[in-house]
Amino acid sequence: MIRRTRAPVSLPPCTLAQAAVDADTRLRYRLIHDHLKKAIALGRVAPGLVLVEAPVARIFGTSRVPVRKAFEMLHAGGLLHTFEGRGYLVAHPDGSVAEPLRAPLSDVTLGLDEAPIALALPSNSERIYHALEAAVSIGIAFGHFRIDESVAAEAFGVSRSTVREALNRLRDLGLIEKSAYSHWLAGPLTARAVAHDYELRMLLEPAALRASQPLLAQDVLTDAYAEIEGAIRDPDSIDADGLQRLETTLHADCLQHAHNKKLLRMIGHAHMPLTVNHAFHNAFNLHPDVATLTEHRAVLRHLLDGDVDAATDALGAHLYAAQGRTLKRLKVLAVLPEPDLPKYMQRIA
Amino acid sequence: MPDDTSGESSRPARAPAVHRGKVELRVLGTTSTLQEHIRKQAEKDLGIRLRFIIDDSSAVQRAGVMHPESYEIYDQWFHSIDYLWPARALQPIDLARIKRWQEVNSLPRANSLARHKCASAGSVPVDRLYVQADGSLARKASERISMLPLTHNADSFVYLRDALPPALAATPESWAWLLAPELAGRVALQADAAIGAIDAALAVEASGLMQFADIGNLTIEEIDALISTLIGFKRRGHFAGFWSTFADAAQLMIANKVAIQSVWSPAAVELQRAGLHFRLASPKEGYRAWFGGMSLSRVAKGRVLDAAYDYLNWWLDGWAGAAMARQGFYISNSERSRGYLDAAEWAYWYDGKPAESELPGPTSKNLIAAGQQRDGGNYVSRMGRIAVWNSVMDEHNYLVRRWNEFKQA
Repeated sequence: MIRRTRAPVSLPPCTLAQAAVDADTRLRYRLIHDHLKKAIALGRVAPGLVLVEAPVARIFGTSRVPVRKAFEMLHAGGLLHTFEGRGYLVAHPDGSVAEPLRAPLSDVTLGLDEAPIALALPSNSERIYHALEAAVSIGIAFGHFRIDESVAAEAFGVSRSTVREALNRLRDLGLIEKSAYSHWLAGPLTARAVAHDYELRMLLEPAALRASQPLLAQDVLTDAYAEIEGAIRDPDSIDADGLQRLETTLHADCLQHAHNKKLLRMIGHAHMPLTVNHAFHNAFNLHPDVATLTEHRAVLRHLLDGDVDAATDALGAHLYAAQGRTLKRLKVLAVLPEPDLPKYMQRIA
Repeated sequence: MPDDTSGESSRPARAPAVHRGKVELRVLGTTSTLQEHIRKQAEKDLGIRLRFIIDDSSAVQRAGVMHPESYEIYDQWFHSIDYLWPARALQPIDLARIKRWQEVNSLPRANSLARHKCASAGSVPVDRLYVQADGSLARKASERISMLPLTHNADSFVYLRDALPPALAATPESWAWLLAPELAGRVALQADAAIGAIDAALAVEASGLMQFADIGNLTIEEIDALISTLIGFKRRGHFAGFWSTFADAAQLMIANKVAIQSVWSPAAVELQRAGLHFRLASPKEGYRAWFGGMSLSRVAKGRVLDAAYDYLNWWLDGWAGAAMARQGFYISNSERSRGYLDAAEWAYWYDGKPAESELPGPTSKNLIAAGQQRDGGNYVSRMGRIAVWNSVMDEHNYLVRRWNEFKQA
């Protein structure tokens, strides 16, 4: 296991810390490169599989920087090919070009015979949490699953209590639940559950925004507004992760100053729709629709103007419209092929 | 989704400038409309190369959603717009480029027929027809549409007259017959949840086993109860099979595996040719209706897009509508196809009158014997008795998972 070296706190400014981070990044891209190279050469990855940075980064539990670097090296080595779409195509083991194949990316589809434990990050629980969240949010659209704690612990190479900690956080998000027999259960995702989350958010978010607004810093709002303007000018520049950042800005950051933390926790528990939308945009490599962006802008504009009534109204209207869009997206998931899910996701129905 | 793939299939779309030869147009759809005699006629009339990419309904929907780069025209049903539009696989059709749009009848444009409002249960075509300013789809008229409405029909079930127990034969035709114990083991259903599950729900309701608040939009509890009822029937050996294409449906009956099943009209043509003694039911509860049409792939552009518009317009020119009539499908501007049908054919297929003489089928000289009459009557009496449209309901994703459980039970 490779541990991240910490810069001693007593040593001056960022240079050493930065050097440590750089060294860490170098190791990571090398390890990601080696993992993928081996898997492709052994024919364990389907030729033509479309690789994009964000999901691969999640699987390896890293940022996208080392993944990008690893992709560039694999491309130079002829094991990945560019094509007209975003990302890279996995070559045949002999290096020849294959037809594009879009499928959800997981440690299984990436041909990793063991979970990429070699990349052990500063926080195991962070990495596991993100991997579980990704697997669960894709999985629930395709049925009803039990999550096997011990299989997951084995897959991640960690203790069951580490897995349990991550699962507890997912339960807080409302993504999974614990049965009377202490089984972790996920899905099936229903339109009703999505609508219930929106109903809660329509009731609670405007109240939280009203409470948070007096404490919102003007420069935070200015930055958020500039970012949304940029997104509206060029929606194609916003991928699924970018969209999630915009959602977090409006639906978490702007509300965070509300004193009633219980209120904020309840809102946080109703965020399943955001997960659905993220999975949907990721699956189709879609950019956000303009309606979402202009609705966000309207809320931010009113906040900048200090008009809290108009801002809360606009937030309510946005959530209402977003509910309609999310429910429509949910129907689309019915025709998608079922993805390969990790072994710890065990189908009940 | 990006314009992707380096495959053969997308070359015409991307490299039109080099070869100014014939444009090749790729149409994705099912055997219901993608037929060789139609392909040849359109190639001849339009001077293009036409490639039909044919699969069963679910595979067509999946390819339609995931691979808009693999086709220029998507040819299927209005309810599948609920999959394709949110995934942004399609581009709007500009009505200014559809010459005969004004001829398209009021059923898909206003959900009314002969000034009467039609059923509002299920995925009503007009509710997903017009593209609104914000890119969503709704009933409010605009200059752009999601799908050009073309073929349509009122579906029910087919049964072999001789297999019907006398007790049922003495009563009006009903969807309940699909669950009649006397016919156990000789019943089949359509496999697609958006169609087959509706037929099953109509049967369960008509049998008095359940009642649904809105049969076109079932709740989770209704879906659970419906599926558990159906699994009960299945475990008792009630169902002999599920079919995906009309040819499979016809084969089930011709092979004498099935005596009653939900059905599509072209299957009846096959049964007729096989000489079976059958009837297409006009259930007292009403029909399950569908509207078919064509949409444009998001990535179609340039010459290929022009050719795609030519092909859409060709479908409203009359020849195709006549070809569809001979397999029992109506076309949205039927008057235009009248000129391509004999008076006797029109009287039989649209007016529901007895055939004055022997009538041809889609590709055969003799299909309908003189004196025979279309089950269910004329256009208005059939399309005017819609109980529910094919439906992609709010809980469709949930229904599909449960429906698969039923099929595998």
